[in-house]
Amino acid sequence: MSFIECKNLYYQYNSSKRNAINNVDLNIEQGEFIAVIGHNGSGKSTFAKLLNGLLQPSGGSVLVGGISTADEAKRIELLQSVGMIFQNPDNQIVASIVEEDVAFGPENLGVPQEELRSRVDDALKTVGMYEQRLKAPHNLSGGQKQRVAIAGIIAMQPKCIIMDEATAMLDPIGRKEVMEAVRKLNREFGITIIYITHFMNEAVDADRVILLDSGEVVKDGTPHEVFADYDTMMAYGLDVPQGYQLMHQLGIDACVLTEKECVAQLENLLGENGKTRT
Amino acid sequence: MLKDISFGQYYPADSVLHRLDPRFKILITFLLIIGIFICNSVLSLSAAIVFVIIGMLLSKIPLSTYLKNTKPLLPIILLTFILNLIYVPGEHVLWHFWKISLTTEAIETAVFIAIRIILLVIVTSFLTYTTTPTALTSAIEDLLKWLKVFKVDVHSIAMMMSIALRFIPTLIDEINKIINAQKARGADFDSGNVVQKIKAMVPILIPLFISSFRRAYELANAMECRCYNGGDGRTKLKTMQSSFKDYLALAVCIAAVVGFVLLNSIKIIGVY
Repeated sequence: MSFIECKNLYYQYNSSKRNAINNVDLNIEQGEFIAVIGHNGSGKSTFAKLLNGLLQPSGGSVLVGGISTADEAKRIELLQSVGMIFQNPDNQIVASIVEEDVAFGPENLGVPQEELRSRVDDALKTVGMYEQRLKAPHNLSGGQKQRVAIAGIIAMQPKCIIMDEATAMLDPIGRKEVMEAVRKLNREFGITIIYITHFMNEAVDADRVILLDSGEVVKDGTPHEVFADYDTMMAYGLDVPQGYQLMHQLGIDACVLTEKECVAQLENLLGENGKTRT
Repeated sequence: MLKDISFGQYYPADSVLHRLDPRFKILITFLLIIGIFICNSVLSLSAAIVFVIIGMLLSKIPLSTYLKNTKPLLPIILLTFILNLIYVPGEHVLWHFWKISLTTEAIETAVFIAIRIILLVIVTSFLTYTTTPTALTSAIEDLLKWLKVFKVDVHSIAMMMSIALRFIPTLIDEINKIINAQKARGADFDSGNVVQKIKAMVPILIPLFISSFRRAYELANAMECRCYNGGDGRTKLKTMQSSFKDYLALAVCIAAVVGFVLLNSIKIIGVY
Protein backbone atom coordinates (compact mmCIF):
# COMPACT_ATOMS: atom_id res chain seq x y z
CA MET A 1 0.00 0.00 0.00
CA SER A 2 1.32 3.42 -0.92
CA PHE A 3 1.54 6.26 1.56
CA ILE A 4 -0.90 8.47 -0.35
CA GLU A 5 -3.43 6.94 -2.73
CA CYS A 6 -5.73 9.05 -4.90
CA LYS A 7 -8.45 7.08 -6.65
CA ASN A 8 -10.58 8.61 -9.44
CA LEU A 9 -10.27 11.93 -7.71
CA TYR A 10 -12.64 14.71 -8.79
CA TYR A 11 -13.18 18.14 -7.41
CA GLN A 12 -15.51 20.90 -8.50
CA TYR A 13 -15.78 24.35 -6.94
CA ASN A 14 -19.35 25.50 -6.30
CA SER A 15 -18.91 28.56 -8.47
CA SER A 16 -17.57 26.66 -11.49
CA LYS A 17 -18.93 24.18 -14.00
CA ARG A 18 -15.55 22.74 -14.84
CA ASN A 19 -13.84 20.17 -12.66
CA ALA A 20 -10.82 21.70 -10.93
CA ILE A 21 -9.47 18.19 -10.47
CA ASN A 22 -10.43 15.66 -13.08
CA ASN A 23 -10.05 11.93 -12.59
CA VAL A 24 -6.68 11.86 -10.88
CA ASP A 25 -5.25 8.43 -10.06
CA LEU A 26 -1.99 8.68 -8.22
CA ASN A 27 0.16 6.86 -5.70
CA ILE A 28 2.83 8.56 -3.63
CA GLU A 29 5.36 6.53 -1.67
CA GLN A 30 6.78 7.41 1.74
CA GLY A 31 10.02 9.39 1.41
CA GLU A 32 9.50 10.63 -2.15
CA PHE A 33 10.36 14.19 -3.18
CA ILE A 34 7.72 15.21 -5.66
CA ALA A 35 7.38 18.46 -7.57
CA VAL A 36 3.93 19.35 -8.85
CA ILE A 37 3.99 21.80 -11.75
CA GLY A 38 1.42 23.36 -14.02
CA HIS A 39 0.42 26.84 -15.14
CA ASN A 40 -1.92 29.07 -13.10
CA GLY A 41 -5.34 27.51 -12.67
CA SER A 42 -4.15 24.01 -13.55
CA GLY A 43 -5.42 22.69 -10.21
CA LYS A 44 -2.12 22.49 -8.31
CA SER A 45 -3.35 24.18 -5.12
CA THR A 46 -6.70 22.40 -5.22
CA PHE A 47 -4.84 19.10 -5.48
CA ALA A 48 -2.72 20.04 -2.45
CA LYS A 49 -5.77 20.94 -0.37
CA LEU A 50 -7.43 17.62 -1.26
CA LEU A 51 -4.44 15.69 0.06
CA ASN A 52 -4.85 16.84 3.66
CA GLY A 53 -8.60 17.15 3.75
CA LEU A 54 -8.85 20.95 3.67
CA LEU A 55 -11.09 20.26 0.69
CA GLN A 56 -13.26 17.16 0.44
CA PRO A 57 -13.32 15.40 -2.95
CA SER A 58 -16.48 15.73 -5.04
CA GLY A 59 -15.79 12.22 -6.27
CA GLY A 60 -13.27 9.48 -5.64
CA SER A 61 -11.13 9.26 -2.53
CA VAL A 62 -7.80 10.14 -0.98
CA LEU A 63 -6.17 7.75 1.46
CA VAL A 64 -3.21 8.95 3.51
CA GLY A 65 -1.45 6.17 5.38
CA GLY A 66 -4.69 4.20 5.13
CA ILE A 67 -6.84 7.03 6.54
CA SER A 68 -9.48 8.52 4.28
CA THR A 69 -9.44 12.34 4.24
CA ALA A 70 -13.21 12.18 4.62
CA ASP A 71 -12.90 10.43 7.98
CA GLU A 72 -13.96 13.10 10.49
CA ALA A 73 -12.93 11.03 13.51
CA LYS A 74 -9.32 10.79 12.37
CA ARG A 75 -9.06 14.37 11.17
CA ILE A 76 -6.46 15.51 13.72
CA GLU A 77 -4.35 12.42 13.06
CA LEU A 78 -4.46 13.20 9.33
CA LEU A 79 -3.57 16.87 9.74
CA GLN A 80 -0.73 15.92 12.05
CA SER A 81 0.81 13.53 9.53
CA VAL A 82 0.36 15.81 6.50
CA GLY A 83 1.68 19.30 7.23
CA MET A 84 1.14 22.16 4.86
CA ILE A 85 3.09 25.35 4.14
CA PHE A 86 1.30 28.17 2.36
CA GLN A 87 2.40 30.86 -0.01
CA ASN A 88 2.25 33.94 2.21
CA PRO A 89 4.53 33.52 5.23
CA ASP A 90 2.79 36.36 7.11
CA ASN A 91 -0.59 34.65 7.06
CA GLN A 92 0.49 31.41 8.69
CA ILE A 93 2.42 32.66 11.68
CA VAL A 94 0.14 32.72 14.70
CA ALA A 95 2.21 33.90 17.65
CA SER A 96 4.28 37.04 18.13
CA ILE A 97 7.43 35.18 19.16
CA VAL A 98 9.19 32.68 16.87
CA GLU A 99 9.47 29.82 19.38
CA GLU A 100 5.88 30.23 20.54
CA ASP A 101 4.74 29.98 16.95
CA VAL A 102 6.71 26.78 16.40
CA ALA A 103 5.10 25.40 19.57
CA PHE A 104 1.58 26.14 18.30
CA GLY A 105 1.10 22.84 16.44
CA PRO A 106 2.36 20.48 19.15
CA GLU A 107 0.51 22.55 21.79
CA ASN A 108 -2.71 21.79 19.92
CA LEU A 109 -1.80 18.11 19.89
CA GLY A 110 -1.42 18.20 23.67
CA VAL A 111 2.27 17.28 23.72
CA PRO A 112 3.55 17.35 27.34
CA GLN A 113 5.56 20.43 28.29
CA GLU A 114 9.04 18.87 28.61
CA GLU A 115 8.76 17.16 25.23
CA LEU A 116 7.32 20.37 23.75
CA ARG A 117 10.49 22.28 24.64
CA SER A 118 12.79 19.72 23.00
CA ARG A 119 10.57 19.42 19.91
CA VAL A 120 10.57 23.19 19.42
CA ASP A 121 14.34 23.48 19.87
CA ASP A 122 15.04 20.54 17.54
CA ALA A 123 12.70 21.89 14.87
CA LEU A 124 14.30 25.33 15.01
CA LYS A 125 17.79 23.84 14.81
CA THR A 126 16.82 21.70 11.82
CA VAL A 127 15.81 24.74 9.77
CA GLY A 128 18.67 26.86 11.17
CA MET A 129 16.48 29.37 13.01
CA TYR A 130 17.46 28.52 16.59
CA GLU A 131 19.38 31.77 17.07
CA GLN A 132 16.30 33.79 16.15
CA ARG A 133 13.94 31.91 18.47
CA LEU A 134 13.08 34.91 20.64
CA LYS A 135 12.56 37.40 17.81
CA ALA A 136 9.25 38.77 16.60
CA PRO A 137 8.23 37.27 13.24
CA HIS A 138 7.72 40.65 11.55
CA ASN A 139 11.42 41.40 12.02
CA LEU A 140 12.46 38.35 9.93
CA SER A 141 13.06 38.12 6.19
CA GLY A 142 10.63 36.23 3.97
CA GLY A 143 12.88 33.18 3.75
CA GLN A 144 13.33 33.15 7.52
CA LYS A 145 9.57 33.42 8.12
CA GLN A 146 8.95 30.53 5.77
CA ARG A 147 11.60 28.46 7.61
CA VAL A 148 9.82 29.26 10.90
CA ALA A 149 6.61 28.01 9.30
CA ILE A 150 8.40 24.80 8.28
CA ALA A 151 9.75 24.41 11.82
CA GLY A 152 6.16 24.80 13.08
CA ILE A 153 5.16 21.87 10.89
CA ILE A 154 8.09 19.57 11.71
CA ALA A 155 7.49 20.12 15.42
CA MET A 156 4.29 18.13 14.85
CA GLN A 157 6.46 15.26 13.49
CA PRO A 158 4.60 14.78 10.21
CA LYS A 159 5.25 12.05 7.65
CA CYS A 160 4.66 14.40 4.75
CA ILE A 161 4.92 18.12 4.06
CA ILE A 162 3.04 19.85 1.26
CA MET A 163 4.59 23.12 0.10
CA ASP A 164 1.87 25.08 -1.67
CA GLU A 165 3.93 27.53 -3.75
CA ALA A 166 5.76 28.28 -0.54
CA THR A 167 8.61 30.05 -2.33
CA ALA A 168 6.51 32.16 -4.72
CA MET A 169 6.74 35.30 -2.60
CA LEU A 170 10.42 34.97 -1.72
CA ASP A 171 13.57 36.44 -3.23
CA PRO A 172 16.19 34.07 -4.75
CA ILE A 173 18.12 33.85 -1.46
CA GLY A 174 14.96 33.03 0.49
CA ARG A 175 14.00 30.43 -2.10
CA LYS A 176 17.39 28.77 -1.77
CA GLU A 177 17.18 28.73 2.06
CA VAL A 178 13.74 27.11 1.98
CA MET A 179 14.70 24.59 -0.70
CA GLU A 180 17.77 23.53 1.28
CA ALA A 181 15.75 23.13 4.49
CA VAL A 182 13.16 21.00 2.69
CA ARG A 183 15.74 18.81 0.99
CA LYS A 184 17.41 18.20 4.33
CA LEU A 185 14.09 17.04 5.80
CA ASN A 186 13.59 14.68 2.90
CA ARG A 187 17.10 13.20 3.03
CA GLU A 188 17.70 13.01 6.76
CA PHE A 189 14.24 12.29 8.14
CA GLY A 190 12.65 10.57 5.15
CA ILE A 191 9.74 13.01 5.15
CA THR A 192 7.70 12.90 1.96
CA ILE A 193 7.78 16.29 0.24
CA ILE A 194 5.12 17.44 -2.20
CA TYR A 195 6.52 20.62 -3.64
CA ILE A 196 4.10 22.72 -5.64
CA THR A 197 5.93 25.32 -7.65
CA HIS A 198 6.06 27.26 -10.84
CA PHE A 199 9.83 27.65 -10.68
CA MET A 200 11.13 24.97 -13.03
CA ASN A 201 14.63 25.25 -11.57
CA GLU A 202 13.20 23.93 -8.30
CA ALA A 203 11.16 21.20 -9.97
CA VAL A 204 14.20 19.64 -11.67
CA ASP A 205 15.70 18.84 -8.27
CA ALA A 206 12.81 16.55 -7.34
CA ASP A 207 12.84 12.76 -7.63
CA ARG A 208 9.58 12.82 -9.49
CA VAL A 209 7.65 15.53 -11.33
CA ILE A 210 3.91 15.57 -11.81
CA LEU A 211 2.57 17.90 -14.49
CA LEU A 212 -1.03 19.01 -14.07
CA ASP A 213 -3.14 20.64 -16.75
CA SER A 214 -6.85 21.45 -16.40
CA GLY A 215 -6.97 19.27 -13.32
CA GLU A 216 -5.53 16.20 -15.03
CA VAL A 217 -2.19 14.52 -14.60
CA VAL A 218 -0.65 14.81 -18.07
CA LYS A 219 2.88 13.73 -17.21
CA ASP A 220 4.34 11.85 -14.29
CA GLY A 221 7.93 10.71 -14.07
CA THR A 222 11.52 11.71 -13.41
CA PRO A 223 12.44 15.30 -14.31
CA HIS A 224 14.14 14.07 -17.50
CA GLU A 225 11.09 12.10 -18.58
CA VAL A 226 8.70 14.98 -17.96
CA PHE A 227 10.85 17.69 -19.50
CA ALA A 228 12.01 15.52 -22.41
CA ASP A 229 9.99 17.26 -25.08
CA TYR A 230 10.55 21.02 -25.29
CA ASP A 231 7.49 21.75 -27.40
CA THR A 232 5.11 19.87 -25.09
CA MET A 233 6.31 21.96 -22.14
CA MET A 234 5.65 25.13 -24.11
CA ALA A 235 2.24 23.86 -25.11
CA TYR A 236 1.28 23.49 -21.43
CA GLY A 237 2.31 27.09 -20.83
CA LEU A 238 5.39 26.27 -18.81
CA ASP A 239 8.93 27.52 -18.68
CA VAL A 240 11.93 25.30 -18.93
CA PRO A 241 15.21 25.73 -17.03
CA GLN A 242 17.54 28.29 -18.59
CA GLY A 243 20.13 25.76 -19.77
CA TYR A 244 17.43 23.84 -21.62
CA GLN A 245 16.21 27.05 -23.22
CA LEU A 246 19.77 27.82 -24.35
CA MET A 247 20.19 24.40 -25.94
CA HIS A 248 16.89 24.76 -27.72
CA GLN A 249 17.87 28.13 -29.14
CA LEU A 250 21.20 26.71 -30.24
CA GLY A 251 19.17 24.17 -32.15
CA ILE A 252 20.35 21.21 -30.10
CA ASP A 253 17.83 18.62 -29.06
CA ALA A 254 19.07 17.80 -25.58
CA CYS A 255 17.12 17.74 -22.33
CA VAL A 256 19.46 19.75 -20.14
CA LEU A 257 18.04 20.45 -16.70
CA THR A 258 20.80 21.47 -14.32
CA GLU A 259 23.67 23.91 -14.71
CA LYS A 260 26.10 21.01 -14.49
CA GLU A 261 24.48 19.17 -17.37
CA CYS A 262 24.45 22.38 -19.34
CA VAL A 263 28.17 22.93 -18.86
CA ALA A 264 28.93 19.33 -19.82
CA GLN A 265 26.81 19.63 -22.94
CA LEU A 266 28.51 22.90 -23.95
CA GLU A 267 31.99 21.48 -23.38
CA ASN A 268 31.08 18.51 -25.47
CA LEU A 269 29.84 20.80 -28.21
CA LEU A 270 32.87 23.09 -28.22
CA GLY A 271 35.15 20.05 -28.18
CA GLU A 272 33.55 18.66 -31.32
CA ASN A 273 33.77 22.02 -33.05
CA GLY A 274 37.40 22.27 -32.09
CA LYS A 275 38.03 18.86 -33.67
CA THR A 276 36.37 19.78 -36.95
CA ARG A 277 38.48 22.94 -37.19
CA THR A 278 41.85 21.29 -36.91
CA MET B 1 4.93 57.31 13.15
CA LEU B 2 2.48 54.41 13.01
CA LYS B 3 5.10 51.96 14.23
CA ASP B 4 5.26 53.74 17.59
CA ILE B 5 1.78 52.76 18.67
CA SER B 6 2.19 49.29 17.24
CA PHE B 7 3.91 47.48 20.01
CA GLY B 8 1.78 48.62 22.81
CA GLN B 9 4.01 49.96 25.48
CA TYR B 10 6.43 47.20 26.29
CA TYR B 11 9.87 48.52 27.24
CA PRO B 12 12.44 45.70 27.16
CA ALA B 13 14.70 45.68 30.21
CA ASP B 14 15.76 43.20 32.85
CA SER B 15 14.31 44.32 36.14
CA VAL B 16 12.52 42.86 39.14
CA LEU B 17 9.24 44.22 37.80
CA HIS B 18 9.83 42.63 34.38
CA ARG B 19 10.38 39.24 35.97
CA LEU B 20 7.23 39.22 38.12
CA ASP B 21 4.41 36.88 37.17
CA PRO B 22 2.07 38.88 34.89
CA ARG B 23 -1.00 37.63 36.76
CA PHE B 24 0.35 39.09 39.98
CA LYS B 25 1.21 42.31 38.17
CA ILE B 26 -2.39 42.71 37.04
CA LEU B 27 -3.68 42.09 40.58
CA ILE B 28 -1.11 44.47 42.05
CA THR B 29 -2.03 47.18 39.55
CA PHE B 30 -5.69 46.98 40.56
CA LEU B 31 -4.73 47.01 44.21
CA LEU B 32 -2.54 50.09 43.83
CA ILE B 33 -5.20 51.94 41.82
CA ILE B 34 -7.59 51.43 44.75
CA GLY B 35 -4.82 52.36 47.19
CA ILE B 36 -4.14 55.66 45.45
CA PHE B 37 -7.84 56.57 45.40
CA ILE B 38 -8.03 55.92 49.13
CA CYS B 39 -5.22 58.35 49.95
CA ASN B 40 -6.75 61.50 51.40
CA SER B 41 -4.18 62.96 53.73
CA VAL B 42 -0.89 64.68 53.02
CA LEU B 43 1.01 61.93 54.77
CA SER B 44 -0.63 59.02 52.94
CA LEU B 45 -0.30 60.72 49.57
CA SER B 46 3.38 61.45 50.18
CA ALA B 47 3.81 57.80 51.14
CA ALA B 48 2.14 56.81 47.86
CA ILE B 49 4.45 59.14 45.94
CA VAL B 50 7.50 57.60 47.60
CA PHE B 51 6.14 54.11 46.88
CA VAL B 52 5.62 54.89 43.19
CA ILE B 53 9.09 56.47 42.90
CA ILE B 54 10.63 53.31 44.36
CA GLY B 55 8.68 51.35 41.76
CA MET B 56 10.00 53.59 38.99
CA LEU B 57 13.56 53.05 40.17
CA LEU B 58 13.05 49.27 40.35
CA SER B 59 11.66 49.12 36.81
CA LYS B 60 14.96 50.32 35.26
CA ILE B 61 12.95 52.38 32.79
CA PRO B 62 14.19 55.94 32.17
CA LEU B 63 12.15 58.82 33.59
CA SER B 64 11.71 60.29 30.11
CA THR B 65 9.69 57.21 29.05
CA TYR B 66 7.29 57.75 31.96
CA LEU B 67 7.01 61.45 31.13
CA LYS B 68 6.22 60.60 27.50
CA ASN B 69 3.33 58.47 28.72
CA THR B 70 1.98 61.18 31.02
CA LYS B 71 2.23 64.01 28.48
CA PRO B 72 -0.89 63.17 26.42
CA LEU B 73 -2.90 63.30 29.67
CA LEU B 74 -1.70 66.78 30.55
CA PRO B 75 -4.78 68.56 29.14
CA ILE B 76 -7.06 66.30 31.20
CA ILE B 77 -5.00 66.89 34.33
CA LEU B 78 -5.06 70.67 33.75
CA LEU B 79 -8.79 70.67 33.07
CA THR B 80 -9.65 68.77 36.25
CA PHE B 81 -7.25 71.01 38.14
CA ILE B 82 -8.99 74.20 36.94
CA LEU B 83 -12.50 72.79 37.39
CA ASN B 84 -11.68 71.78 40.95
CA LEU B 85 -10.23 75.23 41.64
CA ILE B 86 -13.45 76.86 40.52
CA TYR B 87 -16.13 74.52 41.76
CA VAL B 88 -14.92 73.11 45.08
CA PRO B 89 -16.68 75.11 47.82
CA GLY B 90 -14.66 76.40 50.78
CA GLU B 91 -14.69 78.86 53.63
CA HIS B 92 -11.24 80.43 53.43
CA VAL B 93 -11.66 82.74 50.45
CA LEU B 94 -8.32 83.98 49.16
CA TRP B 95 -9.49 85.89 46.14
CA HIS B 96 -12.87 86.77 44.74
CA PHE B 97 -13.92 87.87 41.29
CA TRP B 98 -17.52 88.06 39.98
CA LYS B 99 -18.97 84.60 40.72
CA ILE B 100 -15.61 82.89 41.02
CA SER B 101 -13.88 82.56 44.32
CA LEU B 102 -10.59 80.87 45.07
CA THR B 103 -10.47 79.05 48.38
CA THR B 104 -7.68 77.17 50.15
CA GLU B 105 -9.85 74.05 50.22
CA ALA B 106 -10.25 74.21 46.44
CA ILE B 107 -6.50 74.55 45.93
CA GLU B 108 -5.86 71.58 48.22
CA THR B 109 -8.41 69.37 46.43
CA ALA B 110 -7.15 70.39 42.99
CA VAL B 111 -3.52 69.59 43.86
CA PHE B 112 -4.53 66.29 45.42
CA ILE B 113 -6.51 65.12 42.41
CA ALA B 114 -3.81 66.16 39.95
CA ILE B 115 -1.21 64.18 41.90
CA ARG B 116 -3.53 61.18 42.09
CA ILE B 117 -4.09 61.14 38.34
CA ILE B 118 -0.35 61.32 37.66
CA LEU B 119 0.28 58.47 40.11
CA LEU B 120 -2.45 56.37 38.46
CA VAL B 121 -0.91 56.83 35.04
CA ILE B 122 2.50 55.78 36.32
CA VAL B 123 1.15 52.75 38.18
CA THR B 124 -0.70 51.47 35.11
CA SER B 125 2.37 52.02 32.98
CA PHE B 126 4.30 49.73 35.36
CA LEU B 127 2.10 46.97 34.02
CA THR B 128 2.21 47.87 30.34
CA TYR B 129 5.89 48.79 30.25
CA THR B 130 7.15 45.66 31.95
CA THR B 131 4.87 43.02 30.42
CA THR B 132 4.84 41.83 26.80
CA PRO B 133 1.41 41.83 25.12
CA THR B 134 1.62 38.04 24.82
CA ALA B 135 2.28 37.59 28.52
CA LEU B 136 -0.53 40.03 29.28
CA THR B 137 -3.01 38.05 27.17
CA SER B 138 -2.15 34.71 28.71
CA ALA B 139 -2.32 36.28 32.18
CA ILE B 140 -5.80 37.63 31.41
CA GLU B 141 -6.81 34.19 30.10
CA ASP B 142 -5.60 32.61 33.30
CA LEU B 143 -7.19 35.17 35.62
CA LEU B 144 -10.55 34.88 33.86
CA LYS B 145 -10.59 31.06 33.89
CA TRP B 146 -13.43 31.05 36.39
CA LEU B 147 -15.70 32.66 33.78
CA LYS B 148 -15.84 29.24 32.08
CA VAL B 149 -18.43 28.35 34.70
CA PHE B 150 -20.71 30.87 32.96
CA LYS B 151 -19.95 29.31 29.53
CA VAL B 152 -17.67 32.17 28.49
CA ASP B 153 -15.10 30.88 26.00
CA VAL B 154 -12.09 32.49 27.66
CA HIS B 155 -9.56 30.63 25.50
CA SER B 156 -11.05 31.91 22.23
CA ILE B 157 -11.15 35.47 23.50
CA ALA B 158 -7.50 35.27 24.54
CA MET B 159 -6.55 33.67 21.21
CA MET B 160 -8.31 36.49 19.34
CA MET B 161 -6.50 39.08 21.42
CA SER B 162 -3.10 37.54 20.80
CA ILE B 163 -3.73 37.15 17.06
CA ALA B 164 -4.87 40.77 16.90
CA LEU B 165 -1.63 41.84 18.60
CA ARG B 166 0.41 39.62 16.31
CA PHE B 167 -1.11 41.21 13.19
CA ILE B 168 -0.80 44.86 14.18
CA PRO B 169 2.68 45.30 12.66
CA THR B 170 1.68 43.30 9.57
CA LEU B 171 -1.39 45.45 9.01
CA ILE B 172 0.57 48.65 9.58
CA ASP B 173 2.94 47.62 6.79
CA GLU B 174 -0.09 46.92 4.67
CA ILE B 175 -1.61 50.35 5.40
CA ASN B 176 1.63 52.05 4.39
CA LYS B 177 1.68 50.07 1.14
CA ILE B 178 -1.93 51.02 0.37
CA ILE B 179 -1.29 54.69 1.18
CA ASN B 180 1.68 54.70 -1.19
CA ALA B 181 -0.27 52.88 -3.87
CA GLN B 182 -3.14 55.36 -3.65
CA LYS B 183 -0.76 58.31 -3.61
CA ALA B 184 0.85 56.93 -6.75
CA ARG B 185 -2.58 57.10 -8.35
CA GLY B 186 -2.93 60.72 -7.34
CA ALA B 187 -4.91 60.41 -4.08
CA ASP B 188 -4.56 63.43 -1.81
CA PHE B 189 -4.63 62.78 1.93
CA ASP B 190 -3.19 65.97 3.27
CA SER B 191 -5.29 68.88 2.04
CA GLY B 192 -8.89 69.91 2.60
CA ASN B 193 -11.01 70.25 5.71
CA VAL B 194 -11.75 67.55 8.27
CA VAL B 195 -14.66 66.05 6.31
CA GLN B 196 -12.59 65.83 3.14
CA LYS B 197 -9.72 64.25 5.04
CA ILE B 198 -12.01 61.60 6.53
CA LYS B 199 -13.46 60.90 3.09
CA ALA B 200 -9.93 60.48 1.76
CA MET B 201 -9.50 57.57 4.19
CA VAL B 202 -12.13 55.45 2.41
CA PRO B 203 -9.79 54.30 -0.40
CA ILE B 204 -7.36 53.14 2.30
CA LEU B 205 -9.87 51.37 4.51
CA ILE B 206 -11.68 49.37 1.84
CA PRO B 207 -8.59 47.59 0.45
CA LEU B 208 -7.43 47.08 4.02
CA PHE B 209 -10.71 45.40 4.96
CA ILE B 210 -10.67 43.16 1.91
CA SER B 211 -7.10 42.07 2.45
CA SER B 212 -7.72 41.50 6.16
CA PHE B 213 -10.53 39.10 5.36
CA ARG B 214 -8.29 37.27 2.91
CA ARG B 215 -5.58 37.07 5.56
CA ALA B 216 -8.09 35.81 8.11
CA TYR B 217 -9.20 33.06 5.72
CA GLU B 218 -5.64 31.97 5.04
CA LEU B 219 -4.72 32.11 8.71
CA ALA B 220 -7.74 29.98 9.59
CA ASN B 221 -6.59 27.40 7.04
CA ALA B 222 -3.05 27.47 8.39
CA MET B 223 -4.31 27.08 11.97
CA GLU B 224 -6.48 24.15 10.97
CA CYS B 225 -3.48 22.54 9.27
CA ARG B 226 -1.67 22.81 12.56
CA CYS B 227 -4.43 20.90 14.30
CA TYR B 228 -5.98 23.86 16.11
CA ASN B 229 -9.16 22.63 17.70
CA GLY B 230 -10.02 25.14 20.40
CA GLY B 231 -8.65 25.30 23.90
CA ASP B 232 -9.48 21.78 25.09
CA GLY B 233 -6.54 19.45 25.57
CA ARG B 234 -4.00 22.10 24.68
CA THR B 235 -0.67 22.22 26.45
CA LYS B 236 1.54 25.27 26.68
CA LEU B 237 5.21 25.86 25.94
CA LYS B 238 5.47 28.34 28.75
CA THR B 239 3.28 28.10 31.77
CA MET B 240 3.17 30.99 34.16
CA GLN B 241 4.76 30.08 37.42
CA SER B 242 4.31 32.12 40.54
CA SER B 243 7.19 32.00 42.96
CA PHE B 244 8.06 33.41 46.35
CA LYS B 245 8.98 36.82 44.90
CA ASP B 246 5.50 37.25 43.40
CA TYR B 247 3.80 36.61 46.75
CA LEU B 248 6.33 38.90 48.40
CA ALA B 249 5.56 41.71 45.92
CA LEU B 250 1.84 41.25 46.51
CA ALA B 251 2.38 41.29 50.30
CA VAL B 252 4.44 44.48 50.06
CA CYS B 253 1.71 46.18 48.03
CA ILE B 254 -1.03 45.07 50.42
CA ALA B 255 1.08 46.39 53.30
CA ALA B 256 1.52 49.69 51.44
CA VAL B 257 -2.22 50.09 50.89
CA VAL B 258 -2.91 49.28 54.55
CA GLY B 259 -0.24 51.87 55.40
CA PHE B 260 -2.02 54.47 53.27
CA VAL B 261 -5.28 53.77 55.10
CA LEU B 262 -3.59 54.18 58.50
CA LEU B 263 -1.84 57.38 57.43
CA ASN B 264 -5.18 58.78 56.25
CA SER B 265 -6.26 59.30 59.85
CA ILE B 266 -3.35 61.67 60.57
CA LYS B 267 -4.23 65.08 59.20
CA ILE B 268 -1.62 67.81 58.91
CA ILE B 269 -3.26 70.52 56.82
CA GLY B 270 -6.97 71.13 57.40
CA VAL B 271 -9.00 68.10 56.33
CA TYR B 272 -5.92 66.63 54.66
